[in-house]
Amino acid sequence: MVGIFGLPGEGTGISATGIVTGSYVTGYRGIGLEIGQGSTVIGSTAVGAPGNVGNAVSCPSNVTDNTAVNNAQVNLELNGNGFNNTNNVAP
Amino acid sequence: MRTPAVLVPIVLALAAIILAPRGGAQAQDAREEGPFEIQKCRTIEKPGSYKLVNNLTFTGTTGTCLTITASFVTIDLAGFTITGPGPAFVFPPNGPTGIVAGNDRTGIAVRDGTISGFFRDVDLGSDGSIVEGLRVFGGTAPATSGYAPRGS
Repeated sequence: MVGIFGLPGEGTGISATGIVTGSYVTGYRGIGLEIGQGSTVIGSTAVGAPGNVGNAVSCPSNVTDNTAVNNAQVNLELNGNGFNNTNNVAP
Repeated sequence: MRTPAVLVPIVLALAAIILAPRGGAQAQDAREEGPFEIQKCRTIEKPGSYKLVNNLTFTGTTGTCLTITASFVTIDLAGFTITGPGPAFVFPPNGPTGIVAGNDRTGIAVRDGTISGFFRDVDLGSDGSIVEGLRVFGGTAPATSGYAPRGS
């Protein structure tokens, strides 16, 4: 895993490096989706309650058609360069 | 040269005897390849396809429900739920995890089910993972649990 976001001990919904699709995550305090370098994240949702970071993704990765809302700190945290960041809803 | 009619039943019987054990072996091979049934929280030590056949409940305040120690493992939750002790429970640091694979494992897939009530719900530290169609309801206790928000 490249790029660890949030403080240790806060809890995480899904932590993975690879392909994450069609998943829904809520009820975390730390990070909803913690995604490693070289991943593809499509069509997933992270709703903070009371999460701090919705989607935390390391570069380069493909991040498309995801939703991240109601996260206290950051909805979509992209760490580094080389992203395909398309059609994400993360106000 | 034509086979006498009286030998036909004997030839058929011999063929049945020869072929029957081979068919049974094939069926057993298929079972050995999976999907292997998961009926309770456990450690998965061999590559292959695994499938939940019922809901799982994990009550520990630390530890993991499904621990993956092999590479190239696929877990189909088959619509079932893995439930941890949260969110009513206040977790200690490094509280319970729903599914975990070691950082030195690769090719782990988890799909199609619900995981709820864990401190860390799905932790696939390895490369080449696939997560598909999961519904995750974290077990994080409310703010009164004593876990400070990030940056505070």
